[in-house]
Amino acid sequence: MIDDPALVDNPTVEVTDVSKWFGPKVAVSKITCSFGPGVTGLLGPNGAGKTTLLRMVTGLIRPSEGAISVLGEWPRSSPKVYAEIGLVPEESAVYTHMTGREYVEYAAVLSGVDGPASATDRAIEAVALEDAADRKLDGYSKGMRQRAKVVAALVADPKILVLDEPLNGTDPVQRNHLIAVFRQLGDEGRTVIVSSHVLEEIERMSDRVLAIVDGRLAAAGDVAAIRRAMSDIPYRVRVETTRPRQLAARLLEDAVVHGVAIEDEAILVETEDLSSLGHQVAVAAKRVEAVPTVFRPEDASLESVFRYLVRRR
Amino acid sequence: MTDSVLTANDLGRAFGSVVALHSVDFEVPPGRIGLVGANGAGKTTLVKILLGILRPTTGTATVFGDDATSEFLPIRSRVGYMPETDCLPLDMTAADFLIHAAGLAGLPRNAARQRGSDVLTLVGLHEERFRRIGSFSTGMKQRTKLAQAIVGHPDLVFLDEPTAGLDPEGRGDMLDLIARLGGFGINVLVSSHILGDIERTCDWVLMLDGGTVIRSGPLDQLVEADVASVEITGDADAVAAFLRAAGADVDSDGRRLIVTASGADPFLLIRDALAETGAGMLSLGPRATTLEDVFLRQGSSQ
Amino acid sequence: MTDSGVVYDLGYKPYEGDKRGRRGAVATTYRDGNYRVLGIKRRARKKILPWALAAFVMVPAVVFVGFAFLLSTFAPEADSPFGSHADYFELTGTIVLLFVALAAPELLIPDRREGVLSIYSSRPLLPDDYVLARFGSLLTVAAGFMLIPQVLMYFGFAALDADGFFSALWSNGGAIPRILAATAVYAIAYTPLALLIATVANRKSAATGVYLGTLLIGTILSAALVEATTMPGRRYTAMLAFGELPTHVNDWIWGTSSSEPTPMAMAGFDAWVSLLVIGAVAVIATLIVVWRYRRLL
Repeated sequence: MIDDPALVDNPTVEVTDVSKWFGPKVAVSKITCSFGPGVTGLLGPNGAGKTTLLRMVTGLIRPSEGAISVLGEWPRSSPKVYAEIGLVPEESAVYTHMTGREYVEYAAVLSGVDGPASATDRAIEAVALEDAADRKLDGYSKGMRQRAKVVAALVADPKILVLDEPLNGTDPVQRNHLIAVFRQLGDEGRTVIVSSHVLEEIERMSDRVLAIVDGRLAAAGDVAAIRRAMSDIPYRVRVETTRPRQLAARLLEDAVVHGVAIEDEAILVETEDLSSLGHQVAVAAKRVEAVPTVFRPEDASLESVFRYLVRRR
Repeated sequence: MTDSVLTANDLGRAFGSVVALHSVDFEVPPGRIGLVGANGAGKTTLVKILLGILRPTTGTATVFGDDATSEFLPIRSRVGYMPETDCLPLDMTAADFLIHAAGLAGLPRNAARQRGSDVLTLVGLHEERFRRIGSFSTGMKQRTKLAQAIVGHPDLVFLDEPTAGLDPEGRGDMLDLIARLGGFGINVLVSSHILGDIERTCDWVLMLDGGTVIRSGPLDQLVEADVASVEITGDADAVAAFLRAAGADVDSDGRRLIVTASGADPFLLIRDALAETGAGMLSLGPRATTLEDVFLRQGSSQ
Repeated sequence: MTDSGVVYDLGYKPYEGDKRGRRGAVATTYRDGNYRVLGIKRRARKKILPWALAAFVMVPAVVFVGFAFLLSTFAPEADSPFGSHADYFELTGTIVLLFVALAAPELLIPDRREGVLSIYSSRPLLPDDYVLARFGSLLTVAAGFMLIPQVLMYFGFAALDADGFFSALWSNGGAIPRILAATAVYAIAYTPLALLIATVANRKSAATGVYLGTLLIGTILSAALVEATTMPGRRYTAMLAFGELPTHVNDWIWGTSSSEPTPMAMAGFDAWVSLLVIGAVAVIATLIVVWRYRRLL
């Protein structure tokens, strides 16, 4: 059992002490992490090095230092290994004169898949693109093109799937569907790496996240655990309640919180220990006969975690 | 509504055989309006019709009571537009460009200079404003786009996918700026496919799907006051049992419970349940249907 | 002495002042166009060509006046061998042509390519307004290139005239309407066509090249055809030498003939025919540009 949250047991992709520089610019700096079955979310500010890291993982560029191994080998070392990596890039790289089905079949042929036609059918079914599969791609909306790209990446049945902003342009129905597809792929044992700026989406899709800031690995693991690990920053929680001042006074007296602010009908509390606060607020409220109607941690979300990570540089 | 900011009446627009909008009807009050829908649902077409850039093929639309097609000149004197696409001249500095944009909005020279500078400070562009826009990052360009949209002090500003290309920090900053616009007396229409953006900034939602309006209404109607939603840490089953014993209706989804109690206060019951059972909560609030739920319920799109 | 302090609210202030609507938008676009073609408020390298051309256009005027001054000082009875307004137009005509070839693409193409037209289409501005404002800028600056040296010469020679400044101004007063007419002819000949090509082409270098190339080829073709063919309408091929048409009219305005005979003169046409062709091309080109921009904005 590995202790370091940046690493997984049974990794399929290993990044070992990798750095990459372009002239004076250090894009990636001494990153060690690994990816395995399940969905890993990759996040970071623009220009932080996520794209560079993904390009190294898919073998498009070589590290300046350190080693990348995918299924034990450098991704471009053999067609066999390379075929196990599916990439859904951010740019719209589709051939508009083809239909969806033709595009996917083309991808299948390029990847050297046996029986491209049936592989195409399977992949299309998996992403529920049947209705639109026989229409030309230039008639697709942006969200549908995203799905077509995902299908094309899946047709070779890759063990590893790398997705850059995959939900861009999709409507809520398509988004929901795609999230379910990615989760499913992760549950099937594939290694799914998703990079996105929309943190609400990463939270829903990922089992774990890796945050990259200024080329370095800033945090890794499960979101709640990462937040707990930021122990120098207390949690802020918003509590709306009847009798707010009484509840606030009680919480202070019981030493449950170490700071309270009052805002209209709500109190904002600061505490080190979020997990026991919930129970303690209920107990204190009962004591002073207040009824809390809202209990909302303001900054336990991935977005707040991200903000702290970025500001600390 | 006499004080509607925007109205549409059986509005439609086709491009050859492609129908982008059809049977669009709405009356939207002042405030912060969210225009939601996937790319291809017709949002940009609708905004262009409201700005008088496109003519509808059927029906009419009005902005501040003026017809969007025949009276677009007076309308444009009162609105601002932040396009989704690139729209900034790369060889000008932000400062010079804002003066130009202010002039285009009708401000005289000195006022344009002053106002351009103030607005750039407001959006958070400081020394960078004297650099060429061609050297700006995406975040800086988006801020500049927003600045030119509000420099004329419009009564309504159309923002098309304002957080596109921004990283999480940039996105948060942009959404905060947008939320503040309401306080400046500027009505806002945010067009976005990211529901979170709308939820954070708007109080009225106009939902488009497949070229027509599937919902138009205030955002807070989505909250049901007498139903509580709580996420439990600890023994969720014990909590559910306690609540049911107290006569409440509990819908359980793992650690999330939806609690309805006719004739009683579900929050009171939850409080007592937690105090009794020793369990805690991760979050508590009225059951809020999110925009997403509404969208999903209204039907799927292709 | 009171204890008092104040913190000023630097937040958003609504704008309560004047708003000039369509007129303001057009004026701003016009002004921006003037700056743009001269490279003002742009990077240094955008200034090089326009200002170099401006220098070329001014220097001869300064030289002429200077020479006339020397002549008047040292040989007051001699006639100046050069320095007629007519000759000068011929010279500056070429320079203005180059300037317009470079400036028209700069005025129209970046706004299209960089997407700035989206902003214009959200302002109280009709598509026609945009086009006319851009036309206005190009015409203004091109006219400026022609007028300023002419005016310099006009006043310069008058100042050096043996008969006295004001009487020289008066006696040479006939030059003024001629200067204005010639400026208008050159401007209206060169500008619309350049803007048309800048509307259709999407790269600045291509637009400049096509414009200059078209005029050059027209001239060459017309010379070749006039010489070579014997078909009945061949004198009309002189009209292909579009770049030379303003010079033909210029000659008529000043009553002189240019250093080299223009194709139209050689083909035996009167100046008003050239004027007609210039006008027709101007109108057609303008209409096409307006039509195109009505669909873009």
